Amino acid sequence: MKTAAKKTYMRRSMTVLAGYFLTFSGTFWFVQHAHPTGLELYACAVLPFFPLFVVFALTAAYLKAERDEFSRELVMRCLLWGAGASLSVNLFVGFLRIFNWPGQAPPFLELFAFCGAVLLAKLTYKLSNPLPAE
Amino acid sequence: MGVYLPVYFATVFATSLYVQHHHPRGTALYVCAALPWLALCGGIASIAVYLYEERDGYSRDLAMRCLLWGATGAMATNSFLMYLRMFGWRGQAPALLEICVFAAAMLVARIAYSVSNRPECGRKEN
Repeated sequence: MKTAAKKTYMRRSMTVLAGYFLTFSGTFWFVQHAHPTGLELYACAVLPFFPLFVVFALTAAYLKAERDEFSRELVMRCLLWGAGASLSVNLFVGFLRIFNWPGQAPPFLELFAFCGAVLLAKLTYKLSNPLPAE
Repeated sequence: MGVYLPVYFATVFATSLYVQHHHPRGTALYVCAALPWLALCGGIASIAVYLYEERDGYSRDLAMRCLLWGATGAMATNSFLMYLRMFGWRGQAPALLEICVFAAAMLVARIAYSVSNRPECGRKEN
């Protein structure tokens, strides 16, 4: 069952994520046509990054607002599993780069690792703590 | 964690030395990157074990919050760099920048929580 804080968080996050896809598509199109450099390039990178940053802030606000301790702890644990996976992937790629790896990691690799680990943790916790039928 | 850090530094030193002298490629390069990575993964696993074993709910919650602030800092840095690279940035970010941001954000969060949860001096108990 979703708490009121979770429902608000989901609604706000979905709105921001819709904005993210629009911003990302718009910026990507602009970069491919205008080939910006220097400060313009940094500004272009900030544009799609900003909605993601808002989602981080919304998650922090949700964790502060959530009154159901079990739900909050579960979300924190899932996020930490995601962070662990994302950081370990990032570290592996970092060491490859330090050791002069000529390749390039796929874009969004760390973000996919984060989402995958969060989803897996959520499923695992759900299976190990099944709620009794109401 | 105290056990993993010396192992990590020893592994990084030995692997860097090997890479500088032998210039490995392909699978050997992946193995060289995996060695210090495994040592750090041991550190991450030891944090998970600590959170599992900690019986003091307050300490566990505080540690989880600090870790989440660190992870937010690392992920924000990583996302920004990823967009820069995707949009044709030719530069190179410092090695292991995200892990440094992670550690810094965690430290700032820890200090901020310590300061905000400091008991007031001279408070009278009723």
